[in-house]
Formats: sequence, structure tokens, C-alpha cells
Amino acid sequence: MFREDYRREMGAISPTEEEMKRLMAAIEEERPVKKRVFRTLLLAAALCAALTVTALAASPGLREALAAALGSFGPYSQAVEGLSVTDQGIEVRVVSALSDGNTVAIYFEARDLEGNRLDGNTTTNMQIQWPTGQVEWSQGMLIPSDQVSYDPETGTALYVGKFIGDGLPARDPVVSLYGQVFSPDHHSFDQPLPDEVINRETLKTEVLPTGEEVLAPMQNSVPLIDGLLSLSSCGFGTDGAFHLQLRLERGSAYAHLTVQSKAWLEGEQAAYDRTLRYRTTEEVEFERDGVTYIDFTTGATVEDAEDITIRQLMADVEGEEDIRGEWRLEVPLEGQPTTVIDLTQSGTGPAFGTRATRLYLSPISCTVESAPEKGKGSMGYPLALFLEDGTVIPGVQCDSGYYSEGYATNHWTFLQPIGTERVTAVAIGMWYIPIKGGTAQPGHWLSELPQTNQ
Amino acid sequence: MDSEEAARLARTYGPAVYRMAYARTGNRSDAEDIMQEVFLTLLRKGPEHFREEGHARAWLLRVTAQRSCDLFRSLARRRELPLEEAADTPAPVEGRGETLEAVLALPADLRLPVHLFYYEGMTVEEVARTLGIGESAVKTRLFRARAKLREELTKGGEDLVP
Repeated sequence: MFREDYRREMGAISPTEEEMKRLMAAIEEERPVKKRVFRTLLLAAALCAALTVTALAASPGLREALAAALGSFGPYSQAVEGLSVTDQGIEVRVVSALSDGNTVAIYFEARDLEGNRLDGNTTTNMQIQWPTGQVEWSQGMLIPSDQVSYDPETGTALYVGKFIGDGLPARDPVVSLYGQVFSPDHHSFDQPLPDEVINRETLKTEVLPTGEEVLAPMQNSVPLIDGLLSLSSCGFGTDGAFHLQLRLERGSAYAHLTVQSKAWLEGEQAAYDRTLRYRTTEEVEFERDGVTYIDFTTGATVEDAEDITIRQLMADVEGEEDIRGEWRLEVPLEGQPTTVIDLTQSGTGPAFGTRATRLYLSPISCTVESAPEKGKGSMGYPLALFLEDGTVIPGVQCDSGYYSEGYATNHWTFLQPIGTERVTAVAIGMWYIPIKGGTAQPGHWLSELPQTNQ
Repeated sequence: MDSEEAARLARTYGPAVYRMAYARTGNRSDAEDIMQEVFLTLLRKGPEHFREEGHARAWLLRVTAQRSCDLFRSLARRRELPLEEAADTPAPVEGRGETLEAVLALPADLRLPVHLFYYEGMTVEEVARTLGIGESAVKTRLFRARAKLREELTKGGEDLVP
């Protein structure tokens, strides 16, 4: 009960519209924006399920990749043809889509018409954009595109972008797929490093022309990302400070180092000040023989040698130049039919303090509309579906929602398609709601969360 | 990072950052300050874009943890109070539920582990990585938090805490 209660009560705490507007203004102006008033609440949560589609892919390899991702959602997808745009020699082509008016997934290919600049590590900021003139959705969640597969023979990458619209299912919306950058050879490193990488001998340092003291490069090299990023030197310099130095063979990198106190990590609260002291005090980037080095100086000194540990090294590395341009496509979506079920007799009001009014059920997701009483949250509990043949599909996690005073929606995406006509009951958390003739019957508590019976 | 991408991440993760900051501060005004600071840090120092969406979320929550702690340190200096006093229990607010009040009444160092574990659904390892502390420290803090929450929330006789 604690987890559910806390999630419900904390779920009602969200930035107001005014706070979100100020945040957007702060980002636009690149400086903090002062507060004025508070108002409505918004809610967003994490996406869980992966949705797949059928398509006419550019190559047999990509068709196979799509088939592998297809699962059982294939029959519910919509093939898209003749929708493409080219800029900077990169052609973007939509191949398929899936929508039920709330959950949207668009598959698209990117192909280099002028060379072979794309690869299996090319990322993009292309994403589905909020549709203009759309009134059914009160809020939504944009999920950036992931590369599904890459075919080296045709130099074509396949991506999927997703979107969840909160609120009532939109009828055949037209959404934009828009992006400005493809980043080839894009890699990430995000791990703690073992103590063994720290050289226990005093390492040589150098003073750069700009005045900073850094470790001399390549005193104890360790590869981190093959052929792209390595540890150059790591240990205590003749300046007495602990340094960590990265070597970047090409491209650009954003890196962040976290050094902490072992004693503090083991629970010694008195060591907290030491962990604060171990933070990076200086980060310097310099070049030597055409190679880039990034040197972190920390507040840790030789006296701390036995206490420090490299808790996290995070590096985001782009080996090649970004391809910048503008790619925009308007994608008309053909929504899967949604069954609307009246929930007013389901008894959720007395049970939760939140009166569920309608359930919108499609083969790929569902939305519950509710009217929370003052101080009560929405209905973002795990959902279970009960089918006519006795099958129970438990533990569908709520992945999005909207909350304002007196009105809320919650959304769940299915991992496998559901024949809506087969659903005889749903459980929201442990509240079981039978469905008969398109209307919910009075519900009751279950003794435990539904479990699978397959 | 360009402002368009930062704005997209703000729309997606702003609420999660805000809630985490609220869990630490118990104060909407401070939560908003932290949320703005986190996304301005992303704009100024963040990567061009994250390779995976999960990295963006992890990055933002880690920075939120740091900024929340920084805020308390600055409050401590401003008020010339010891850190523990500056990080003391936020005042109760009308309309907040009993469970949330109980979490916000916990000592400051226990609130974020509870929030990340119970609200964000993170594992102990993920909580440790986000807060930059050891797994044993997370387990200890969750244990202490549960004991205090049990004490607070079972006053009515019902044991609500696992």
C-alpha cells in the first residue's frame, strides 16, 4: 500500500503550466526566469512497450529487421508509401506507422544519396511532433527515435519514433516527423572504473601554454571505446592532485567524472565532506599531435589515495561531424478502432477517491478517464486484462497520463495486441471491474495483484 | 545542446526532475528553481544529444540529486545554520496526502532513496548510481526510512509499509 499511496500522492505533484512555461522561457533565454503564480497540474511518465509495424523496407536486410521487430502488431500497422524528403543528401522516408489515436509509432528510413556517411551508430534527433490543431490530447510524451537496424549494403538506417498522446483518442491525426541532425559514429560510455586504473606512482605533469597543469599524456593507457576513446593517464600528479585524462582519437566528446570517498559509499557519514571535496575542480581540453585530450583535475590529493574511487565516468562521443539540415514530413495516421466502455458503475469512486468515467480500449493500448476528488491522485496503477477464454494479462504498467484538478487520464500500452471483444474484465491495481455489454459492472477488491495464468 | 532538444527533454522529464526536487525540498518554489537549474545545466554543459533516451533521464536525475544537495548547502550558508538544520523537515502543506507528508518528514538524506526506489521504481543499484553513493548506503537508508515510515504510518493501527 505504501508504494501505491506514495506514487498516487507524489503523482499529483507536478510542475504547473506556469512553471513549465517559465522553464521553457528559461531554456530559450538561457537564464533563470522568475516565478509568478502556480496553476494546473501536468503529468508525464515513462514509456514501456515497444511497438512494431509492417513496411516496405529498402532492402531485404531491413525487411528482416522489421519482421524481427514486427511481433504480433503487424496486422494492426499501416504501410506508408511515397512519403519522403531529402536535405543535405540524406533522404528520409516513412515506411510504416501504427496508431490508435493515443499511442503512435512511426518507422522511417534514412539513406545517404551522396556517399556513405550513415552507419550503425548514427543517431538522430528526428521525432514525432505535437500535431497542430489537435484538440483531443491534453498532454503528450515525445520519444526520440531509436535506430532499429542498419544495412551496410545500401547505407540505409531504419529508425522508429514514438509518441503518446494523453486524453481522448484522436481520430486519424496528422503528425509531423521532424529533425535537424544525424550524428554518425555516436557512442556512449557510462561506467564506474576499477581502482586498478589508478596509477599509484606519482605521474608527470605538464603546464599548458594557457597555464593549467595537466598530466603528461599516455602514462597508463586503457581503451574505453575501441579506436575512439581511451584513458590516457590516471593518478596523482606532481602537483599532488588526482587527475583523470581521456584521449579522443577523433571527433568531439562530452565527459563527466565522478570521484567519491569509499568510506562514504560504505556508509560513513563523516566522510561526506571528503566526497564533496573530491569533485572535479578543473576540466581542460588540449591537443597534442592532432589528438584531443581532456584532463580532469579533482580536489582529491595524495593523502586520499586509499579512499578515492572512480564512481562514474560518463562520455558521449561523436566520432564524425554531424549532418545538419531540416527534414520534415507530415504523416497521416489511420487509427485502430477504439471501444468505449462506461465505467461510472465500476465503484472506483468509493475505492480510490477517484471516479473512473470511461475506458477507451484498442488492440494496442487503453486509456482510463477519471475525475479525482480534491487531494486524490489519478489511477496510474498496473492494469490487468481478463479475457473470455480465462487468460489473464497482468502487470501492464501505466506509461503516461494527464492530471488536473477534477480531471485525469491514465494510459497503458500493451506488449501484445489484445482483441478488444475478448475482454471480459479489467483490474486497475487490485480493483476488479467486470465488463458486460459494453458497460462496467460494480467492482470489488481482489486479494492480490492479478498474476499470469499462462 | 541546442535549445530545441533541451526543451524537448524538459517537456519529457521536467515533471520527473520537479518531483525528485520536491521530494528533497518539500517546497514547490525550490523544486522549480532546481528544475530550471538542471535544464540550464543541460543546455550549457550537456552533450549535443544523448545516444539513448535512458541516458538522458539518468543524466538529468543525477544532476537533480546534486543540485538539490547544493541548494541545501547554500541554504545552510545563507541561514548560518548547520547542514542538518537547514535540511530539516519541510512544513506540512494542506492538501498533501498522509504518505507524502510522512516521506517529507524523513531526515533529508533518506528522502531521495525512498523517492527513487518507490516512485521511480529504481533498483538499489540504480538508486546508488543516481545518488552517487554505495549500494550498502542505499540499503541502510531504505531500512532506516522504512522503520521511520512504519512508525509514522501505523499510528492508525494499519501496517502500510513493506
